[in-house]
Amino acid sequence: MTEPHDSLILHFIVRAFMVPFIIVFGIYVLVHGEASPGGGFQAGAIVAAAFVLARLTLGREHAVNRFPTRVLIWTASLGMAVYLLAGVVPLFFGANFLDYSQLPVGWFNNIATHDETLRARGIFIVEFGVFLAVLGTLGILYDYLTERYLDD
Amino acid sequence: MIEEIAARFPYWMCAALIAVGLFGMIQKRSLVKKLIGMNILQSAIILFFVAGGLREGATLPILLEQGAGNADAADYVNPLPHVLMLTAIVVNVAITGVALAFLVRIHREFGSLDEESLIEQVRQ
Amino acid sequence: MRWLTLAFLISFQALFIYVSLDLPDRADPNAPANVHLSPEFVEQGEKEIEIPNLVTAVQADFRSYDTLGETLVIFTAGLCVLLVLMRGSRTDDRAP
Repeated sequence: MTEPHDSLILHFIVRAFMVPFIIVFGIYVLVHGEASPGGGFQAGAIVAAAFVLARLTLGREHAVNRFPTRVLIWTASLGMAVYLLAGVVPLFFGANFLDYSQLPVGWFNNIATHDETLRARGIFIVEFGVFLAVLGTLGILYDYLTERYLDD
Repeated sequence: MIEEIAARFPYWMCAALIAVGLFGMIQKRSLVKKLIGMNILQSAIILFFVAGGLREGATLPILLEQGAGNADAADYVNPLPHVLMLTAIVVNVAITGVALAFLVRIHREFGSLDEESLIEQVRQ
Repeated sequence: MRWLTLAFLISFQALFIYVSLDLPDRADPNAPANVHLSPEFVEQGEKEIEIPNLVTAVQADFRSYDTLGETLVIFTAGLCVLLVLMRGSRTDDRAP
Protein backbone atom coordinates (compact mmCIF):
# COMPACT_ATOMS: atom_id res chain seq x y z
CA MET A 1 0.00 0.00 0.00
CA THR A 2 2.65 2.51 -0.97
CA GLU A 3 1.52 5.93 -2.00
CA PRO A 4 3.00 7.36 -5.19
CA HIS A 5 5.50 10.11 -4.89
CA ASP A 6 4.50 13.31 -6.60
CA SER A 7 7.90 13.95 -8.04
CA LEU A 8 8.09 15.38 -11.54
CA ILE A 9 11.49 13.80 -12.19
CA LEU A 10 10.30 10.37 -11.10
CA HIS A 11 7.19 10.58 -13.26
CA PHE A 12 9.15 11.82 -16.26
CA ILE A 13 11.89 9.21 -16.02
CA VAL A 14 9.54 6.30 -15.41
CA ARG A 15 6.82 7.24 -17.87
CA ALA A 16 8.99 8.55 -20.68
CA PHE A 17 11.99 6.27 -20.49
CA MET A 18 11.92 3.21 -18.30
CA VAL A 19 8.50 1.63 -18.83
CA PRO A 20 8.36 2.05 -22.65
CA PHE A 21 11.91 0.82 -23.12
CA ILE A 22 11.43 -2.15 -20.83
CA ILE A 23 8.25 -3.12 -22.70
CA VAL A 24 9.98 -2.73 -26.08
CA PHE A 25 12.89 -4.84 -24.86
CA GLY A 26 10.47 -7.52 -23.65
CA ILE A 27 8.72 -7.61 -27.04
CA TYR A 28 12.15 -7.86 -28.70
CA VAL A 29 13.07 -10.79 -26.49
CA LEU A 30 9.77 -12.44 -27.42
CA VAL A 31 9.91 -12.05 -31.20
CA HIS A 32 13.65 -12.59 -31.47
CA GLY A 33 13.65 -15.54 -29.14
CA GLU A 34 13.93 -18.02 -31.99
CA ALA A 35 17.30 -16.73 -33.11
CA SER A 36 18.91 -15.50 -29.93
CA PRO A 37 18.59 -16.18 -26.22
CA GLY A 38 15.05 -15.48 -25.21
CA GLY A 39 11.56 -16.83 -25.32
CA GLY A 40 8.14 -16.56 -23.84
CA PHE A 41 9.02 -16.94 -20.18
CA GLN A 42 11.76 -14.33 -20.20
CA ALA A 43 9.71 -11.83 -22.20
CA GLY A 44 6.74 -12.29 -19.89
CA ALA A 45 8.92 -11.69 -16.85
CA ILE A 46 10.46 -8.54 -18.38
CA VAL A 47 7.14 -6.97 -19.35
CA ALA A 48 5.68 -7.90 -15.98
CA ALA A 49 8.65 -6.10 -14.41
CA ALA A 50 7.67 -2.99 -16.37
CA PHE A 51 4.12 -3.24 -15.06
CA VAL A 52 5.30 -3.71 -11.49
CA LEU A 53 7.61 -0.69 -11.83
CA ALA A 54 4.72 1.43 -13.06
CA ARG A 55 2.51 0.23 -10.22
CA LEU A 56 5.22 0.94 -7.66
CA THR A 57 5.95 4.50 -8.72
CA LEU A 58 3.07 6.04 -10.62
CA GLY A 59 0.08 5.37 -8.45
CA ARG A 60 -3.45 4.46 -9.26
CA GLU A 61 -4.63 6.65 -12.08
CA HIS A 62 -1.59 6.17 -14.29
CA ALA A 63 -0.83 2.49 -13.76
CA VAL A 64 -3.59 0.47 -12.16
CA ASN A 65 -6.55 2.12 -13.84
CA ARG A 66 -5.00 1.78 -17.28
CA PHE A 67 -4.25 -1.91 -16.80
CA PRO A 68 -6.44 -3.19 -14.00
CA THR A 69 -6.21 -6.58 -12.38
CA ARG A 70 -9.19 -8.09 -14.18
CA VAL A 71 -7.47 -7.34 -17.49
CA LEU A 72 -4.44 -9.25 -16.21
CA ILE A 73 -6.65 -12.22 -15.32
CA TRP A 74 -8.11 -12.16 -18.83
CA THR A 75 -4.58 -11.91 -20.24
CA ALA A 76 -3.42 -15.02 -18.41
CA SER A 77 -6.53 -16.91 -19.48
CA LEU A 78 -6.05 -15.79 -23.08
CA GLY A 79 -2.45 -17.03 -23.09
CA MET A 80 -3.51 -20.40 -21.76
CA ALA A 81 -6.24 -20.56 -24.41
CA VAL A 82 -3.75 -19.76 -27.17
CA TYR A 83 -1.51 -22.61 -26.06
CA LEU A 84 -4.37 -25.06 -25.76
CA LEU A 85 -5.78 -24.06 -29.16
CA ALA A 86 -2.37 -24.55 -30.74
CA GLY A 87 -2.57 -28.06 -29.34
CA VAL A 88 -6.19 -28.81 -30.21
CA VAL A 89 -6.45 -27.31 -33.71
CA PRO A 90 -4.14 -29.91 -35.34
CA LEU A 91 -6.52 -32.61 -34.10
CA PHE A 92 -9.12 -31.36 -36.62
CA PHE A 93 -6.63 -31.71 -39.46
CA GLY A 94 -5.89 -35.32 -38.73
CA ALA A 95 -2.66 -34.86 -36.80
CA ASN A 96 -1.63 -35.52 -33.25
CA PHE A 97 -2.02 -33.22 -30.27
CA LEU A 98 0.48 -30.33 -30.46
CA ASP A 99 1.67 -31.34 -33.94
CA TYR A 100 2.54 -27.90 -35.27
CA SER A 101 3.29 -29.04 -38.81
CA GLN A 102 -0.46 -29.33 -39.47
CA LEU A 103 -1.38 -25.87 -38.19
CA PRO A 104 -3.24 -23.81 -40.83
CA VAL A 105 -0.85 -20.88 -40.78
CA GLY A 106 0.70 -21.40 -44.20
CA TRP A 107 -0.95 -18.23 -45.52
CA PHE A 108 1.39 -16.22 -43.33
CA ASN A 109 4.32 -17.17 -45.54
CA ASN A 110 2.59 -15.45 -48.47
CA ILE A 111 2.37 -12.19 -46.52
CA ALA A 112 5.80 -12.30 -44.98
CA THR A 113 8.79 -11.76 -47.16
CA HIS A 114 10.57 -14.92 -46.11
CA ASP A 115 9.52 -18.51 -45.69
CA GLU A 116 9.55 -20.40 -42.47
CA THR A 117 8.40 -23.87 -41.70
CA LEU A 118 5.08 -24.40 -40.03
CA ARG A 119 6.78 -25.87 -37.01
CA ALA A 120 8.69 -22.63 -36.46
CA ARG A 121 5.42 -20.69 -36.76
CA GLY A 122 3.82 -23.05 -34.26
CA ILE A 123 6.68 -22.48 -31.87
CA PHE A 124 6.14 -18.73 -32.12
CA ILE A 125 2.41 -19.13 -31.45
CA VAL A 126 3.12 -21.25 -28.40
CA GLU A 127 5.73 -18.81 -27.13
CA PHE A 128 3.20 -15.99 -27.50
CA GLY A 129 0.71 -17.92 -25.42
CA VAL A 130 3.33 -18.58 -22.76
CA PHE A 131 4.25 -14.87 -22.82
CA LEU A 132 0.68 -13.80 -22.15
CA ALA A 133 0.19 -16.42 -19.43
CA VAL A 134 3.39 -15.52 -17.55
CA LEU A 135 2.73 -11.78 -17.88
CA GLY A 136 -0.79 -12.09 -16.53
CA THR A 137 0.17 -14.44 -13.73
CA LEU A 138 3.04 -12.31 -12.46
CA GLY A 139 0.79 -9.25 -12.52
CA ILE A 140 -1.87 -11.14 -10.58
CA LEU A 141 0.73 -12.23 -8.01
CA TYR A 142 1.94 -8.66 -7.48
CA ASP A 143 -1.51 -7.11 -7.35
CA TYR A 144 -2.94 -9.56 -4.89
CA LEU A 145 0.11 -9.87 -2.66
CA THR A 146 0.34 -6.11 -2.22
CA GLU A 147 -3.44 -5.79 -1.78
CA ARG A 148 -3.85 -3.33 -4.59
CA TYR A 149 -7.12 -5.01 -5.40
CA LEU A 150 -8.90 -3.66 -2.35
CA ASP A 151 -10.72 -0.76 -3.96
CA ASP A 152 -10.60 -2.12 -7.47
CA MET B 1 43.94 -36.41 -7.20
CA ILE B 2 43.79 -32.64 -7.61
CA GLU B 3 42.08 -33.02 -10.99
CA GLU B 4 39.54 -35.34 -9.42
CA ILE B 5 38.70 -32.71 -6.86
CA ALA B 6 38.70 -29.83 -9.33
CA ALA B 7 36.34 -31.69 -11.65
CA ARG B 8 33.77 -32.17 -8.89
CA PHE B 9 34.21 -29.08 -6.76
CA PRO B 10 31.23 -27.17 -8.31
CA TYR B 11 28.99 -30.13 -7.51
CA TRP B 12 30.14 -30.08 -3.91
CA MET B 13 29.48 -26.37 -3.66
CA CYS B 14 25.98 -26.93 -5.02
CA ALA B 15 25.49 -29.58 -2.35
CA ALA B 16 26.67 -27.08 0.26
CA LEU B 17 24.08 -24.60 -0.98
CA ILE B 18 21.43 -27.31 -0.76
CA ALA B 19 22.55 -27.91 2.82
CA VAL B 20 22.21 -24.19 3.56
CA GLY B 21 18.69 -24.21 2.18
CA LEU B 22 17.78 -27.32 4.16
CA PHE B 23 19.18 -25.74 7.30
CA GLY B 24 16.97 -22.74 6.79
CA MET B 25 13.93 -24.91 6.19
CA ILE B 26 14.52 -27.11 9.23
CA GLN B 27 15.99 -24.81 11.83
CA LYS B 28 14.50 -21.35 11.40
CA ARG B 29 11.32 -20.54 13.26
CA SER B 30 9.93 -17.83 11.02
CA LEU B 31 7.92 -19.09 8.08
CA VAL B 32 9.33 -16.38 5.81
CA LYS B 33 12.84 -17.60 6.53
CA LYS B 34 11.74 -21.14 5.76
CA LEU B 35 10.47 -19.90 2.40
CA ILE B 36 13.77 -18.17 1.70
CA GLY B 37 15.55 -21.43 2.56
CA MET B 38 13.38 -23.22 0.04
CA ASN B 39 14.31 -20.64 -2.59
CA ILE B 40 18.02 -21.15 -1.85
CA LEU B 41 17.55 -24.90 -2.26
CA GLN B 42 15.81 -24.49 -5.61
CA SER B 43 18.52 -22.13 -6.85
CA ALA B 44 21.16 -24.64 -5.79
CA ILE B 45 19.45 -27.38 -7.79
CA ILE B 46 19.29 -25.08 -10.84
CA LEU B 47 23.00 -24.31 -10.45
CA PHE B 48 23.75 -28.03 -10.19
CA PHE B 49 21.97 -28.82 -13.43
CA VAL B 50 23.49 -25.92 -15.33
CA ALA B 51 26.97 -26.82 -14.08
CA GLY B 52 26.38 -30.41 -15.13
CA GLY B 53 25.36 -29.32 -18.61
CA LEU B 54 28.72 -27.72 -19.32
CA ARG B 55 30.91 -29.17 -22.03
CA GLU B 56 34.47 -28.40 -22.84
CA GLY B 57 35.13 -26.78 -26.22
CA ALA B 58 31.47 -26.10 -26.94
CA THR B 59 29.41 -22.95 -27.18
CA LEU B 60 25.87 -22.15 -26.23
CA PRO B 61 23.12 -24.11 -28.03
CA ILE B 62 22.24 -21.57 -30.70
CA LEU B 63 23.15 -22.61 -34.19
CA LEU B 64 25.70 -20.32 -35.79
CA GLU B 65 24.72 -21.18 -39.34
CA GLN B 66 21.11 -21.92 -40.05
CA GLY B 67 20.06 -24.24 -42.83
CA ALA B 68 23.52 -25.38 -43.79
CA GLY B 69 22.78 -28.84 -42.52
CA ASN B 70 26.29 -29.40 -41.26
CA ALA B 71 25.98 -28.60 -37.58
CA ASP B 72 28.51 -30.52 -35.55
CA ALA B 73 27.03 -31.72 -32.30
CA ALA B 74 30.41 -31.39 -30.60
CA ASP B 75 30.25 -27.62 -31.02
CA TYR B 76 27.16 -27.08 -28.90
CA VAL B 77 26.39 -27.86 -25.30
CA ASN B 78 23.49 -30.10 -24.41
CA PRO B 79 20.31 -28.01 -24.59
CA LEU B 80 18.28 -30.29 -22.37
CA PRO B 81 19.47 -29.06 -18.92
CA HIS B 82 18.84 -25.48 -20.00
CA VAL B 83 15.29 -26.34 -21.05
CA LEU B 84 14.57 -28.20 -17.85
CA MET B 85 15.93 -25.40 -15.69
CA LEU B 86 14.04 -22.78 -17.68
CA THR B 87 10.81 -24.50 -16.76
CA ALA B 88 12.06 -25.07 -13.20
CA ILE B 89 12.67 -21.34 -12.70
CA VAL B 90 9.13 -20.49 -13.70
CA VAL B 91 7.71 -23.20 -11.48
CA ASN B 92 9.83 -21.78 -8.65
CA VAL B 93 8.20 -18.39 -9.20
CA ALA B 94 4.77 -20.03 -9.06
CA ILE B 95 5.64 -21.93 -5.87
CA THR B 96 6.99 -18.77 -4.24
CA GLY B 97 3.90 -16.82 -5.18
CA VAL B 98 1.51 -19.39 -3.76
CA ALA B 99 3.61 -19.71 -0.60
CA LEU B 100 3.63 -15.94 -0.11
CA ALA B 101 -0.14 -15.88 -0.57
CA PHE B 102 -0.47 -18.54 2.13
CA LEU B 103 1.82 -16.54 4.41
CA VAL B 104 -0.26 -13.39 3.91
CA ARG B 105 -3.39 -15.36 4.70
CA ILE B 106 -1.84 -16.97 7.78
CA HIS B 107 -0.72 -13.58 9.05
CA ARG B 108 -4.20 -12.22 8.46
CA GLU B 109 -5.80 -15.08 10.39
CA PHE B 110 -3.38 -15.57 13.27
CA GLY B 111 -1.44 -12.34 13.45
CA SER B 112 1.91 -14.11 13.53
CA LEU B 113 4.33 -15.99 11.33
CA ASP B 114 6.30 -17.61 14.14
CA GLU B 115 6.18 -21.39 14.09
CA GLU B 116 5.90 -21.98 17.84
CA SER B 117 3.18 -19.42 18.39
CA LEU B 118 1.26 -20.76 15.41
CA ILE B 119 1.43 -24.29 16.85
CA GLU B 120 0.21 -23.02 20.22
CA GLN B 121 -2.67 -21.13 18.63
CA VAL B 122 -3.70 -24.15 16.60
CA ARG B 123 -3.63 -26.45 19.65
CA GLN B 124 -5.97 -24.27 21.67
CA MET C 1 17.98 -29.88 17.96
CA ARG C 2 20.49 -27.63 16.30
CA TRP C 3 23.24 -30.22 16.59
CA LEU C 4 20.92 -32.88 15.21
CA THR C 5 20.24 -30.70 12.19
CA LEU C 6 23.91 -29.99 11.68
CA ALA C 7 24.78 -33.69 11.93
CA PHE C 8 22.09 -34.48 9.37
CA LEU C 9 23.35 -31.84 6.97
CA ILE C 10 27.01 -32.88 7.34
CA SER C 11 26.07 -36.49 6.68
CA PHE C 12 24.11 -35.31 3.64
CA GLN C 13 27.17 -33.48 2.37
CA ALA C 14 29.40 -36.50 2.96
CA LEU C 15 26.93 -38.77 1.17
CA PHE C 16 26.78 -36.35 -1.74
CA ILE C 17 30.57 -36.23 -2.02
CA TYR C 18 30.70 -40.03 -1.94
CA VAL C 19 28.06 -40.28 -4.66
CA SER C 20 29.64 -37.56 -6.78
CA LEU C 21 32.73 -39.70 -7.24
CA ASP C 22 30.65 -41.75 -9.68
CA LEU C 23 29.50 -38.70 -11.64
CA PRO C 24 31.30 -37.89 -14.88
CA ASP C 25 33.85 -35.12 -14.74
CA ARG C 26 32.58 -31.60 -15.11
CA ALA C 27 32.70 -30.38 -18.72
CA ASP C 28 33.66 -33.83 -19.92
CA PRO C 29 33.01 -34.10 -23.68
CA ASN C 30 32.66 -37.87 -23.33
CA ALA C 31 30.04 -37.85 -20.62
CA PRO C 32 27.01 -40.03 -21.46
CA ALA C 33 24.66 -37.06 -21.71
CA ASN C 34 26.97 -35.38 -24.18
CA VAL C 35 27.59 -38.49 -26.26
CA HIS C 36 24.13 -40.02 -26.57
CA LEU C 37 21.63 -37.22 -25.91
CA SER C 38 23.10 -33.97 -27.17
CA PRO C 39 23.80 -35.00 -30.82
CA GLU C 40 20.23 -36.22 -31.13
CA PHE C 41 18.81 -32.85 -30.15
CA VAL C 42 21.28 -30.82 -32.19
CA GLU C 43 20.87 -32.79 -35.41
CA GLN C 44 17.12 -33.35 -35.18
CA GLY C 45 16.58 -29.75 -34.18
CA GLU C 46 18.55 -28.41 -37.10
CA LYS C 47 16.98 -30.76 -39.62
CA GLU C 48 13.34 -30.63 -38.61
CA ILE C 49 12.60 -27.32 -36.94
CA GLU C 50 14.81 -24.80 -38.69
CA ILE C 51 15.14 -22.22 -35.97
CA PRO C 52 18.60 -21.48 -34.59
CA ASN C 53 17.82 -21.41 -30.89
CA LEU C 54 17.90 -25.05 -29.89
CA VAL C 55 16.68 -24.31 -26.39
CA THR C 56 13.46 -22.85 -27.75
CA ALA C 57 13.17 -25.68 -30.25
CA VAL C 58 13.50 -28.37 -27.61
CA GLN C 59 11.29 -26.50 -25.17
CA ALA C 60 8.38 -25.68 -27.45
CA ASP C 61 8.45 -28.54 -29.92
CA PHE C 62 10.11 -31.70 -28.64
CA ARG C 63 8.96 -31.17 -25.08
CA SER C 64 5.81 -29.17 -25.71
CA TYR C 65 3.76 -31.41 -23.45
CA ASP C 66 6.13 -30.46 -20.66
CA THR C 67 5.78 -26.77 -21.43
CA LEU C 68 2.00 -27.09 -21.62
CA GLY C 69 1.84 -28.64 -18.18
CA GLU C 70 4.25 -26.08 -16.85
CA THR C 71 2.21 -23.17 -18.19
CA LEU C 72 -0.82 -24.79 -16.58
CA VAL C 73 1.12 -24.90 -13.32
CA ILE C 74 1.89 -21.19 -13.30
CA PHE C 75 -1.63 -20.29 -14.45
CA THR C 76 -3.07 -22.44 -11.66
CA ALA C 77 -0.72 -20.74 -9.21
CA GLY C 78 -2.08 -17.36 -10.25
CA LEU C 79 -5.66 -18.54 -9.79
CA CYS C 80 -4.70 -20.07 -6.44
CA VAL C 81 -3.28 -16.77 -5.17
CA LEU C 82 -6.41 -15.04 -6.40
CA LEU C 83 -8.67 -17.43 -4.52
CA VAL C 84 -6.62 -17.54 -1.32
CA LEU C 85 -6.38 -13.77 -0.94
CA MET C 86 -9.83 -12.89 -2.22
CA ARG C 87 -11.88 -10.72 0.11
CA GLY C 88 -15.35 -11.70 1.18
CA SER C 89 -14.81 -15.42 1.60
CA ARG C 90 -16.46 -17.09 4.57
CA THR C 91 -13.38 -17.49 6.75
CA ASP C 92 -12.82 -13.75 6.79
CA ASP C 93 -15.80 -13.30 9.06
CA ARG C 94 -14.11 -14.73 12.12
CA ALA C 95 -10.77 -13.12 11.43
CA PRO C 96 -9.76 -10.45 13.93
